[in-house]
Amino acid sequence: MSGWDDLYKRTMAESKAMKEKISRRQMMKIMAATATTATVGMGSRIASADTKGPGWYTDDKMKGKVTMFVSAGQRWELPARGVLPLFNERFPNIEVDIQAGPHGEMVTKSMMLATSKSSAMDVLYTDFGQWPAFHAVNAMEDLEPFASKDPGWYDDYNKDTPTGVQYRVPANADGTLYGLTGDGNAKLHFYRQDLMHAAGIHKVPETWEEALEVAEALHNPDKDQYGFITTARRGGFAGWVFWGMLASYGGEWFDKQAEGGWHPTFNNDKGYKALETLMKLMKFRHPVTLNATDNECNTALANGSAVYAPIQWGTAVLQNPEFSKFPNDIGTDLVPRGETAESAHRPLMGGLGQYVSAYSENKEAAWEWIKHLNSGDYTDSRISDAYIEHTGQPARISMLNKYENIRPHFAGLKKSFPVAVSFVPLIPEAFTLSDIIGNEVTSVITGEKSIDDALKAMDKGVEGVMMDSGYYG
Amino acid sequence: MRSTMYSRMLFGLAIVLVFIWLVPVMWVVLTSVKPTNIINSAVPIFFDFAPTLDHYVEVFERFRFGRSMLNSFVTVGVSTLIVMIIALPAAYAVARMNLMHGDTWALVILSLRFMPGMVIVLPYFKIATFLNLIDTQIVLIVVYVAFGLPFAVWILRGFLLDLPKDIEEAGRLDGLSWIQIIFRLIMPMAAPGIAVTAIFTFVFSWNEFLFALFLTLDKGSTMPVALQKTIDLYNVLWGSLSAGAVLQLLPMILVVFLLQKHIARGLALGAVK
Repeated sequence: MSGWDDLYKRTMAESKAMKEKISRRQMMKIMAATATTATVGMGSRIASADTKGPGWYTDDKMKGKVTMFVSAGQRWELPARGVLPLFNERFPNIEVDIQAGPHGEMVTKSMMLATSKSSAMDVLYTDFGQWPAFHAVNAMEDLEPFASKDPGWYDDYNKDTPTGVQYRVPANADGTLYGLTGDGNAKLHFYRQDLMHAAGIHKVPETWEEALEVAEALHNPDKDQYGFITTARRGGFAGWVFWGMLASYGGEWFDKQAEGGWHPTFNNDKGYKALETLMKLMKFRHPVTLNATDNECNTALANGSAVYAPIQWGTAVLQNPEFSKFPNDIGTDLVPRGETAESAHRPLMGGLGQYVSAYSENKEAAWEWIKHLNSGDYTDSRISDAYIEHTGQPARISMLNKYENIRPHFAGLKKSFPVAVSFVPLIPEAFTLSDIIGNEVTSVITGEKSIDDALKAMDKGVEGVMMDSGYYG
Repeated sequence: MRSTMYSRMLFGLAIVLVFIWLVPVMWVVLTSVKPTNIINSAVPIFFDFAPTLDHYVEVFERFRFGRSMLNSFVTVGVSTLIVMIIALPAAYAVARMNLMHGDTWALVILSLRFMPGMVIVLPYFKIATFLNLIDTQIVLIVVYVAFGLPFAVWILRGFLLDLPKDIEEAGRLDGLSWIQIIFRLIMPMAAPGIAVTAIFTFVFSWNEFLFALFLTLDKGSTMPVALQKTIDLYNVLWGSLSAGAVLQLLPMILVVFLLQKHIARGLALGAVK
């Protein structure tokens, strides 16, 4: 049985159990509501028994077809398919066509559709870090006019979804809304509780110094047990590990992410400390680390050859008993922080979401679809249930709270989101810049450059790209 | 005696080479029937496991391989047939008809194949959108014919140049037309070359990914695109990926197995020129 298959079946089973719990809770509410109405002599409407929230409405007059492009698989395609039947219930005359393509190629394909101004795509569901590139070619529709028609829903979305993962231009709470990011993720701290206890460590490391101690204590290569793993593949992956550590030491990409700024700030004490700490951790690295993306890291943690991943993207697969040999032993917490005065827990955060194509011929219907997808309990608790059942990983804090009992890593996400920073600056050049810093990180790990030289090269490389892109006037 | 020893050594070397070639294939086949936790094992487990067909079930149920297989068979089969029908007379014309600048024309035809796919996929996409052909088998058939034809003409030309002219001239003296010469004389003689060309054309289109990715959505997608969907966000579904790879490989192995006699002869024939 495959990992996904098992995950899917397990989530279905868990969801069923959860629904039973909800049903019991609701039954109590029904009884309470019935008792109350009987007492005060009101009507017999028992709203609390209803799964529908204040945002619920139906519309059988709205018609059309909405085509959504999305990467195939968990967290993308599957949650969308999960909530689709409820959308059909609300909008019976809107047909939603979910076009799931290979994850690795989806951005290229979508960018081609966007640049060719194709109306074949009404909605794109992708990583929000890639949206600036789509925004730069005017492919994204301004969602404010749509959202403002339903202030109740909009207010709920804004309150429940961390600002850091919302896509607004400019990137602050007052910016214009261009996409809905219903899915959130953060770099998390994964550790083996059983091995830490056996080693006499009973506290989850708070700082990188403490993390180093754990990595050393658990490192036992003779038993094929390595004390550190992270996604340090050359390029963007290595870049985000470094940026995550830099952030925890209080560092930033640029002096200011606004006009008059955009000057890189890697070559300083914070950058040095971050890279130095990473190098110390690398002494305990799993052999696959320098070629690892999430897949390699998760597999190594699942089979027990890697036992400590203090800076690793959140995922449900490590607690899946079919995928992992240690589903109940892997704990999750905040990524450590630095030890300096400016240090803080600042895990990287990303998210997936949907925007409405500026070239869509069904914008109103497209908006209703993505709004439904991001509604959570506000519209109907069945939407939340279906979203989670189908491997969704919400950005909404209320949903993380609600389902953390069946998705243990949600607890880590919930703690991370309020203090997290974006995994890339929200500019079209973000991934090029990530590659530049990642390549420099790799050159230090492989001994090609000193930390100082690599930091200087990061600043120089990033500044070159920013200059070419016209950020300096 | 010495010759026997030499033959045995060559045979032994051949076995070693075949084994080296087969190891990755066997690995994929084994992975396709391993449970996921065995696939994830830190130390590879080759035989000590209970085989499962779950991954095959999953590729059909979740990744809709049945539909993708049908699409692949239809688009690749039809396009290969069209390519061969057009390529044979075209190759004959280039090889035999003393066209002005015949060799140059042959090179020009082949140069159409040099165009990087990524450069022309956007215009293809725009045209297909305009003609409302996106996500249809027709669009892929047209593209595969356009891309397969130059290669097929070039290969067939090489085979046809190897054939003796005398028989054709005799046919012409007997009053056969060009078409009759091609189909009644050339085709039987060039059968191995035609088989090899058809196989190469088939294989190219069978494994083609780029155009299938961009010109189809879900309904019309072929096996290579469906296969790629097994690479998920946070983990590669190795079991499903391997099961899909085996399914994609099977028809190829079958075709090569059935036509191996022609292939061997065809390759030898082509090697002369």
